[in-house]
Amino acid sequence: MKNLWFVSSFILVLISCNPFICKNIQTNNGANINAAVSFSDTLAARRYKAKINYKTTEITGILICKKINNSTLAGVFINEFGIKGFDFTLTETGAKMGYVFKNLDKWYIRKTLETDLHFMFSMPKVGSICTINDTAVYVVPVNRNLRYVYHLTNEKKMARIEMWKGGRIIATKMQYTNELSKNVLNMRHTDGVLSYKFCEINKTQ
Amino acid sequence: MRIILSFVTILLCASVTAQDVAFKLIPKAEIISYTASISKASASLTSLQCSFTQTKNIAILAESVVSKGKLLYKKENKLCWEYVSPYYYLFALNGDKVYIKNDKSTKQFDTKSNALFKEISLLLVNSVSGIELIDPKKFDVSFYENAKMVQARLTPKNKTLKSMLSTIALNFEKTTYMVQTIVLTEPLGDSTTIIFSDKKINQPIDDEKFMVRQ
Repeated sequence: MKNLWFVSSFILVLISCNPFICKNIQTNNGANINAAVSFSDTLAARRYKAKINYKTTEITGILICKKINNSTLAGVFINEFGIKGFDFTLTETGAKMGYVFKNLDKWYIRKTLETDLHFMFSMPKVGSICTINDTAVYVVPVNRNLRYVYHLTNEKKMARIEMWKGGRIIATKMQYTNELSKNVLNMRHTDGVLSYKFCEINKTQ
Repeated sequence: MRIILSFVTILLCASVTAQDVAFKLIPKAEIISYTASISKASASLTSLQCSFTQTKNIAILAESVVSKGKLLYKKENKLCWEYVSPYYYLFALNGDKVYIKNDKSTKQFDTKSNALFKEISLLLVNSVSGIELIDPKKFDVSFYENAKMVQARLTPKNKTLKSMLSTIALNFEKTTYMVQTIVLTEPLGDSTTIIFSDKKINQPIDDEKFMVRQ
């Protein structure tokens, strides 16, 4: 039994260590990606109509985000009745959950939300430019195993962002402006289990 | 279910004014006459139509979220809680059925098999009339008054509810003993205030209004 556990663990480690391969690496000259959603330019709160889907469960409500100092963004998710689902703070290096509604307050939910919210709302500095499958991309290392990969259009606008864990894409994000000129953030885990859609709304609509 | 209905009834009866005018504690000996008046008003309420404004104050962001909509209530267990701003969202209770409708879809749930919706429905309905909420078994209750209003302050005894809400304040108009304002205060300082306005009491409402279709 012990041997079986060891072999399984070793195989899992090998799989998870599937390396991130990006060729022709060039150090970025310091330019930031022109993100569709940027909090660095405003102290005003941004409000989003939020939809979170987990398997067959759908949670809807309002997400409000606001820059609370030069390096920190804070956010709160409430449902339509005003009941708070969770709140969080976010810096360049990561997100930290604060309050989480009792029924959702599990360590793995906190960890998933922290990872996903950082991916959704951070605007990290680009680390390097390289090519994946002959496509030029910007790469942002978040930690030893996690990277954000930005695919840009010819006009240097964001087309798609991927979250890579080791050598695998685990989530993708799209940012765009809808027909009402509002920002929309769309994130989906590649396994199809979890997805988020945040559509910006006015303070009074 | 009765508790939910009462909660909704209370919420529906609200329409605020001067709620910040100082309240003073009502002596215990006088409470019974106020609760009797509230019970009588609640018992006589057969239907309610009104507008509401819900303001959520978020302490951590120093921001508020204002939602507006319309409420329909028909005794015993028909409720339609319709948000029109900042976006469309409808929560309707019709007997044991709960309907949730947004701009794209309608979902139906059964309160018998879904404990969460049962709780939500009960809370909403009870907020309309108020009296079912003022239950000393579930809350520590104290009463306050000013010239225009009577306020029931409820402190939850139940652990789960206590973790979500530190107090529920129900403001009743002295003229009608119907709920005018509800203030839900959370342990971390956030609060939700619901104000009812343009109330039409005991006017006929077609049952069709509570039938939510795709």
